[in-house]
Amino acid sequence: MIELNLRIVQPGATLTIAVRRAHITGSSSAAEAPDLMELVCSHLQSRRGLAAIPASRAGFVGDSSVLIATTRTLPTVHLAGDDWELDVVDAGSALETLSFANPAHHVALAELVQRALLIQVARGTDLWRINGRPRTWYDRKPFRCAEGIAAYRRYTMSCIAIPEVGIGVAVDVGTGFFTSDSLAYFFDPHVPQAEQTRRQRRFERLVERQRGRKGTLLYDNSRTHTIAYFEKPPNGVTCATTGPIRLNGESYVSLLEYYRAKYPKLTVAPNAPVVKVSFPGRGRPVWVAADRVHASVMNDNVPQALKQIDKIAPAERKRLIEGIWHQLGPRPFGFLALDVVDEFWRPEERLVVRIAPPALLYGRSGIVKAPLSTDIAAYHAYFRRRQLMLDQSGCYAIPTVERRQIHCVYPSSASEEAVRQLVEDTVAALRRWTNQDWRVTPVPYVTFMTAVEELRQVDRGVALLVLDGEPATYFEAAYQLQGWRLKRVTKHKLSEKHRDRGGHSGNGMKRWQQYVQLTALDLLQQMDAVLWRTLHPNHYEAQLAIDVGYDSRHYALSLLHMRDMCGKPDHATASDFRIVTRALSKADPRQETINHVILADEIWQTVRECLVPDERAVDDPIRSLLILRDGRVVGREREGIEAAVKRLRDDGLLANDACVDVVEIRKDSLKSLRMWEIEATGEVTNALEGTAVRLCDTMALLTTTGRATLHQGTAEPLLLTGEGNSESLLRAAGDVFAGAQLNWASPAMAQRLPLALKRTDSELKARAAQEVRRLR
Amino acid sequence: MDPLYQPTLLDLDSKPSASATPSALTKPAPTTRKVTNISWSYSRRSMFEQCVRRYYYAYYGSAARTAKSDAYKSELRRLKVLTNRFERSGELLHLGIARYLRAAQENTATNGTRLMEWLRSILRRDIAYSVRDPEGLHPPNDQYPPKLLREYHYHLQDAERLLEESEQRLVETFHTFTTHPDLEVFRRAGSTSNALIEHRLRLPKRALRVDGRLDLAYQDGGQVTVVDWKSGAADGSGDESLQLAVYALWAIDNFSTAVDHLTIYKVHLTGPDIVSFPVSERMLTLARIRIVQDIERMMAMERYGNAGVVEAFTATPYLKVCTQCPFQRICQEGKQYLHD
Repeated sequence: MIELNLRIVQPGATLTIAVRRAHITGSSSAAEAPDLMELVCSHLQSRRGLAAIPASRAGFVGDSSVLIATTRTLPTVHLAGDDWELDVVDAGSALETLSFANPAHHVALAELVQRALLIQVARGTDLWRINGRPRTWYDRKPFRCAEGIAAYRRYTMSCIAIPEVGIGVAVDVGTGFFTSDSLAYFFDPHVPQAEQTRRQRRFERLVERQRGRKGTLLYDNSRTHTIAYFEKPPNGVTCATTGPIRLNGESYVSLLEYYRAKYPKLTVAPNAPVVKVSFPGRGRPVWVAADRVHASVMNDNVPQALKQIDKIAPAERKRLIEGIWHQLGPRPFGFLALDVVDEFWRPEERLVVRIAPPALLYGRSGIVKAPLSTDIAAYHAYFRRRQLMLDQSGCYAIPTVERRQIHCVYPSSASEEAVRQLVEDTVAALRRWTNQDWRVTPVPYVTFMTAVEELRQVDRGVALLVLDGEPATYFEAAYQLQGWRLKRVTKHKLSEKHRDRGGHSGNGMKRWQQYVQLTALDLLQQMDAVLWRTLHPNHYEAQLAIDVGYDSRHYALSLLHMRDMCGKPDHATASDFRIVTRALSKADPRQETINHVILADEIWQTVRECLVPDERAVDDPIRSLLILRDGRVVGREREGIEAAVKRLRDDGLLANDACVDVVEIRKDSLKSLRMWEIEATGEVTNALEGTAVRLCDTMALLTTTGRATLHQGTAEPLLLTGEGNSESLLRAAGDVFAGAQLNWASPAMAQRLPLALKRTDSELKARAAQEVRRLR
Repeated sequence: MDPLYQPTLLDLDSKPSASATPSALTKPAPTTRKVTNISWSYSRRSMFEQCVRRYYYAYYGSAARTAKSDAYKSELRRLKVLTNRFERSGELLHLGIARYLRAAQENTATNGTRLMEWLRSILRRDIAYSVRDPEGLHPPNDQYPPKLLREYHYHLQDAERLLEESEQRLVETFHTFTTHPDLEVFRRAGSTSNALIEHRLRLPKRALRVDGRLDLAYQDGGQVTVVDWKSGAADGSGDESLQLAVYALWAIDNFSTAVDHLTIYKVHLTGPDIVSFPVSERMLTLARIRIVQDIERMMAMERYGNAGVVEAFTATPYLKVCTQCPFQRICQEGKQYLHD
């Protein structure tokens, strides 16, 4: 039985909420107007404890009033900012009712319930949150500390409307890591110089300053927690010696005076050191007391003892979520007299779809058959056979290159032994999977540019680069070695893995082998090898992934085109399967949306690059296309997609009658949704790979990883949102799952993302790692 | 010739649609190389970062040789000459300082008060012209015509007060420069004959097409100093200034000096605050790469700009950007943002 981390607000599909209407009046700077509605609702929520939403959310198009979930008359609320001023005035009209029976009210109801829940979390629990992240809350105290890092439980809450079911409230659990010590410790001037240096280096490592990041901090002013970015160490400056400070139109002689005026209960010593930080969305960097600031630590940088604690198994996750509901008590929505069903939501069987994994085709016609049943043993065997088949039959297709040669470029300072071992083991793996001989040319370097010069003497080829972690070097490599197929490993990681290998623990050797396998598999992918493919055609002949990098400075497109082999795997050719991925600079990083004109051009270009080498393209255009947009189709992207589709049809690259579906796919589910399986024994386990839950005709939750291969933590499902009907959504879910079986980087493990999206994701991460950020 | 149209020194990949950087998964690059007309400058990259629509208007829509089909060509050209009070007072401050130092170099008696009056008169002339002809329909045909101020062109209600404030700030900052004892060291060094004042910045040795102007640079013994005047107050961001890092690249090439013998100062004349910029080899590498990355991004838009495809340049409506943008009249998104 499938269960989701959702509790349904009672009475389910017959839910109604009474709301009052209020008007917004007054003068304001027009420039602020687009944000004012949101500001009013946030203010009513945080200061007045009232759940309010813009009326437009309830289908009142063009309506500029707000709807407030209260039966009482609202006293006029006055709000003012630097250049605006307004009043929220009760409209004096009769109460209105938002009803779940009316689909136009679904969004509004979900939002009102969510706001009411968050108000109650703030008032009825001792959880804390970070400013600007209203849905995410942390436990008061860390649940584990090790080596100066504190791990906090993090809870994310959201609401979703499920047609015919009601409003579901999702609570999920995660882990946040912060340094136990404040920045006053890391920049303590009273310890010996050597210790100062050690602490500062540790700080730089924890916040990834060497990778070009500023360093994310958590500032606690005793009332609120705010994310800040590191700008400058104290260098002898203290709270009393910062010099004059001007904030929100008021002047203070020093930071100390500011704290005393604004936060009288805060204990701040005059000689307490300060650090300069910047706050997102605000102007100049400012001084803050160093002992009020802790560093936020990425999961990659936590000590070994904490590495696995963010992997929360389904049973434990369920228990922790139940704990939150318990904390919220009998009135989880406070003033909104609503309750939730006591149990987590278990969708009816008709809403649960078990998508079978596909049969896979390898080199020399090796086939891994699909599991015949949903028995866990059959799935185990299926995933295990992928690796065995790769070792036995090799890759499905290897591009023809004249010389099987890899240049291994490494710094002279790297351990010769580690490099030699990496090369030997990698080449052995390549030989096994390609049945071809590979030679390696070592290229040691003192400065990277000398290696570049050496490589430029030969034709473009394949290079395994051992580099430092600097974005500059990575970019230099990519930029100077254009046309080369590059696989980067960092010197730091290589030496860590090699050290592990030589250790006494058997795990060290296992981790080394995994590292080598990953390196070799990645090298093959750089060379356009097709490791395996699905034996049978998917619903869609091609999948196009569209993805924007996390900082919106790049976007990527990836087209996976798999032709039907007409049941003749023996006659398969490399051109039956192609994937082209292109990462591009995004000119407007302040916006998530991709410009529609550029998107249209680049989709066309990507399809063309993928098809044109195939001589059949003109006569044999793509017959069906699934477009996967990571996140949302935003701005005018829809126009861009439509323009591209039209042009592709006009140019004969896409059949005139080709079915084209667009599906939004959320890698990081905004709704914090999870699913797990309740076994007949009552045991809570991960759902099987390929389990999908239809939330409505246009929304489905799909878990691509699961019980057969996930040994730690809970599977993170993907939320798919289509625009057609239930049937097309399930077709898309099937192909997304099939695409995820092309998990070439880790054959024995299920992969969360379909290959096309995995490629865009990897490319965007590579670009982000090359970006020089701090200079501006 | 406008530096924008000189042939490139930057050797980049030929595919204009894909970025020049080969990602790990791209195909081998073609053997042909693209020639770009793009010349990097700090102001150009700043505008690109702020709003690509404004960037289009400034570098393509209003340019004579590109975007010839742009329906607003003549109006864009007219709007391009608008300058706002911050830009104009900054420009005049730099002009005054350069005059002061050059006069000192030539051993001409430098009278700060007289120079200050001269600067005020220029600004007042700008104001008078802007009041008289806010649309800029009858620009004077002088050798040094007055500038049309954006505040008057867009009929800001408090334009007069805003310009008065700017004039006051100009007077104060210039007075600080000419009289403050902490700045004597720069006044003296800038008066020596080998000091470079308002010097054109180029980086020919680095195969980077960079354009700019630096305020003051001089060599004293083995030590090279570069000074950047700022009319505002220090904001604590000096450590990561791309602009200053580019000055460092130039200084190392121009004076054939080493990083250790180079000092770069940002001098904030509101205060004054003298902030030194930490120069290191790493910082120089990062600056060079940042420039290449900037040019890549600009190149990705070049074909659209040349063809006048304004829709490819997404407007980024943002209060601080739109309220200072000379092209506000043309930009629908900006207008809508400001007036909704």
